[in-house]
Parts: sequence; C-alpha cells; structure tokens
Amino acid sequence: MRLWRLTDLVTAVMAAGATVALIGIVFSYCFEVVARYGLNAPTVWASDTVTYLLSASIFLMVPYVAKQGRHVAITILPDALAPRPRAALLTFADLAGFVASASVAWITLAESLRQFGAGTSTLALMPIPKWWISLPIGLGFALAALQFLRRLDEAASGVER
Amino acid sequence: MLAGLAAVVVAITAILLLFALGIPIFAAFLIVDVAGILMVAGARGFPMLANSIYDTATTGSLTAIPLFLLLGELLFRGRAVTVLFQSVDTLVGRVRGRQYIMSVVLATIFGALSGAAMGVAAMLGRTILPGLAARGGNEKLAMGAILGGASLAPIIPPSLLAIIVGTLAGVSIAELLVAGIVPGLILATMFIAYIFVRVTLDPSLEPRQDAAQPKSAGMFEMLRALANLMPFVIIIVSVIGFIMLGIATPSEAAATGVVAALITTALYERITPKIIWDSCKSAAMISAMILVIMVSSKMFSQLLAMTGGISALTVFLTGLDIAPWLMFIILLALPFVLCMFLDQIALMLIIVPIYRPILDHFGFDPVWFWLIFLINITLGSITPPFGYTLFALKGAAGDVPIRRIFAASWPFVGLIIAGVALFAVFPPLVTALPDLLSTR
Repeated sequence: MRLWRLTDLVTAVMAAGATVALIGIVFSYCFEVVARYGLNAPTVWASDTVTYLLSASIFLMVPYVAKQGRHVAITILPDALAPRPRAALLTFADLAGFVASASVAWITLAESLRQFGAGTSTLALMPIPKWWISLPIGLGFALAALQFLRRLDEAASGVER
Repeated sequence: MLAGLAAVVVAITAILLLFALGIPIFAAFLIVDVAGILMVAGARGFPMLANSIYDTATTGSLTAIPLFLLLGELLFRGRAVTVLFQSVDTLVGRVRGRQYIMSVVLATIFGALSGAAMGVAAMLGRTILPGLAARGGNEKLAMGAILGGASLAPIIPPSLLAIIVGTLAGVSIAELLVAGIVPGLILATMFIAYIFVRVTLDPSLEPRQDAAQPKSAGMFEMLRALANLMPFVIIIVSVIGFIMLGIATPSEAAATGVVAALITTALYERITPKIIWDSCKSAAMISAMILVIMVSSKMFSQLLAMTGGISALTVFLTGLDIAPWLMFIILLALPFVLCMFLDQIALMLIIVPIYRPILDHFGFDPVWFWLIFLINITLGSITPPFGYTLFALKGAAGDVPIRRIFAASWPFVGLIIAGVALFAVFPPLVTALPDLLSTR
C-alpha cells in the first residue's frame, strides 16, 4: 500500500534525523568541555542546544520504535494466553497506541500552531521560536499513530504477530 | 470531580490495569493523562499536557541517558567484549570457584558499562552457562552469580536508573551516581565471599574437568591482562572522576566517556563509520523507548498533585504516627513487590513523585534513600516468581527449567536484602562519597 510505503520512508528519514541529533549532543557537550576548560571561553549555545537536540532525538525516533514494535510494554498477561486471545490483546494494545498517539499529536500540533501564531520564543540565553522545537513532538506522535494504524492493518490482513 | 485519596486510587488502578493489558507504557500514561485532564479542566487544559511533554523532553540532565547508552553500544560492538572476557579470566586466575567468581566480576563490569541488568543476564546466560554446564559445573550457583552480578547494573555508575530517579526526585544526579560505588562494591564482595564459602564447604560444586582452567598465569600474562583492561577502567574512572572533581556535569562526563569509548573500540579493531552509525542509531532508539515514557508520565504526577491526591496521601501516611524505620520498610516493601510485575522505569515514574513529600516529612536523606530504593527495585527484578531479569536469563539459558532459575536466585536475593539492611543501618556507606562532592 502506497500510504504505508510513504510512512516507512518518512519514518526512516526521521530515525536518521534522531541519530544525527544524538551525534550533535555528543559534539556540543565535548565542544563545551574543551571551550570551558581548554580555552576558558564557555559557549552560550551548548546548554540550550543539547536540550533541543534531546527532544528532537526522542520524537524523531518514536515512529521507528512503533514500527519495530519495540515500545516498552508489560506483556506478562499476553504471553500467558493462547495464540488467539493473545493476538486479540496485542491488537487492542496497538489500538490503544494509535488512539493515544493520535490524540496527543493533535494536542501538541495545536500547541505548536498557537506558539507560531503568538510568536512565542524559548526561555534561553539565545531565544529561538518555540515551535521549531515543539513541532517534532507533534510530528513524532502523528507518525507513530500511523505506524500503530499500519500494525492494525497488518493484523486485520492476518499477518502473524 | 475526583479528589484526594480517591483520585490517587482511581488513577493508579487505571494505569496498572492498562499496563496489565499489554498496552505500551507511554500510551497507557497518555490515555490516563488525556482522560484526567478532561475530568479536571476539560479540553482547555490540553496545553498543560503539551507543555509538560515539552518541559520533560528538554530537560538537560536527561541527555545523560542516550549518552551512557551510546558509551555501552560502542564498547559492546566487536572485539572489546572478548578482550574484557579474556582479561578477567586471566586475572581471576585459579582461585576456588573461579568460574562462578568470573560470572560475578563480568556481570558487575558489564552491568556498570551497560546499565541494564536484563541485557547482562541474557549475555552471560548465553556465553558462560553452556561451557560451565558442559564441564560439570553447578549451573544453579552460576545462574545465581550472574543474576546477583547483573542486579548491580542499576547501582554501579554509570547508571541510567540513577539519572531517572535523580531527575524525578530533584536529587543531584552526580551525588546519586557516586553514591552507588561503595554499596555496589560491597554487594559484589558479598557475592564472591558467598561463592567462596559454598565451594569451600562443598568442593563438588567446582567443574570436574575445567578445561578452561589456566595454568597459573605468569606475571607477564597478568600484566598484559591488566593493560588490556586499562581502557575500560579509564573510561569508568574518568566518567566518575570528572563528576567527582566537578570538572563536568554527568551529561558532559558521559559525552567525554563516549569519545573515550570510541578510542577504546578503535584500539581493538578497525572502527568503521557503519559501527559508529549503528551504535548511535541503537542508542537513540533505546533512549527514545525510555524517554517517551518519561515525557508521557510527567502529566500523570501533575494530575495527582492538582487533584490534591499526593498531599492527601502524605497527610494520611504521616498521620499514621509510625516510627521512621517502619515507614522506611513500608516505602521499600511496596516497590519491591510491584517490581516483580512492573517495569522498573514505569514504577519509578508513578512512585517517586508520591514519595518525595513523605521523605521530606520523615527527614530521610534523599541520596541515601533513593540509592537504597534503586537497590530495592533491582532486587524485585531478580525475585521469583515474576522478576523480569529471571525471564531474561531463562530466555538466554534455553532448556533450563524456570523453577531452577528461581531456586538459583534466592541466595542472592537474601544477600542483597542483607546488604540493604547494612546500608540502612550504616548510612555513611552510601553517603560518605557523595559528601565529598562540593554540592553537599
């Protein structure tokens, strides 16, 4: 299905973005340590940048985790069940994942839109528009919702779980 | 609208029910968050959820989590693990019960480097157990040693759980990380002493044909093994040293530790961009799995506070007029039991905000309490019948019956309880090192 192929492509690109964000965190911290102790010239950008990169790293990776079915869950009950009720419970879990991700995507994207409209900036030494940082949150949840929907579609098509 | 104790009971029952159904933990929290906001403030309260997610996701101290994960990922890919195995093997030498002692030492080192008890138990279950069983060793004692050693992962720094507890409880992460050193080493020593006594009393526990038993390693081999271990030691010591000397924050120390891990890996093999990329991607994925739960749970504790639930619970508990030591036991007993069923992080996200005001009321030292709390929840994860780490070992050990793994864990559960009692009675064992930090 074309929608799922596109979803997977965007998921892979976002996961690569999350990985780059993590590399950026390592670079920023190391630069800060060297600048502070080696050059006696601490930066004004590193401490804020790492927090923005952390947020990006989390939410750009969330759809990929959903695609892999790796979100942490307590599966003692499903694991103890026979195959059919187990599959039913796992489908219910994916449905819950979809409902939660989709509703929070809507809530957080609405907040990003509000920040954009109001021109809200981050509280930082070097303020930037807050929606730059909050937008990946909504996008991450939205794409995660699509990945849960895809898993539901696969379950409906009889793909073994 | 629900308020007070009723709100706490309903919210916690709802979240535990959703967990039990196998719903992803982050989704369970978000469902309760959205439902709770609708009940408390209606749809106009939704920006609170968006802001709580944003605030948690941009918490600087949490950057240490992906960085420590990346450190472990870099070290555990390729030949560095083999070098670690061989070096510990040589250094442990021909002492009585060497195979079991090796299990404890390796589990402790791997635990410190990876911070994940389940991963260590699974890895050593695959690598050490089969060879030991083939040589007629006592599988039960070896499995106990692996479980005991692996359970030190959340205590000995760098520890992911310490960062999470520190962030949630508002305690210095640096102090909490450093506080784990002495208790971790004491527990490891207790495990080794127990094994030594068991093997001395019953020599039949030794593998009958220990083909891997080295001839006494000469001075040259010992020195070479020590030299091979040095990069690992330098990584751990530099991370902790930077924190203790106040040169770097835990996150900065973790980042410099990543660079050191990169150099160490490069010493043992040709490091490729693919190894680096795969390590970064894996670390980013695992940290997203953990942190999406954290960002989703913040609103849950805020809702408990907004409905007056946490203050009502605090008033109720402090009104019981019981001795502090009894309250201490109650506060530890609850997570100990729950951790047999629940994910450690999920449990902490529920419990830590509730416990904070209670600790303040009873005047417990936060670093002391939360470190013992960490030991306690890791103890829950190796306690039958539901401890998570037991099942990780079962998955790796293959045909070993689960009841045999249960039986293997009990002596080590007992040793850890004895350790907890020791740290409770002698707080300086936990607090002496953090007291050296300038912030205390």
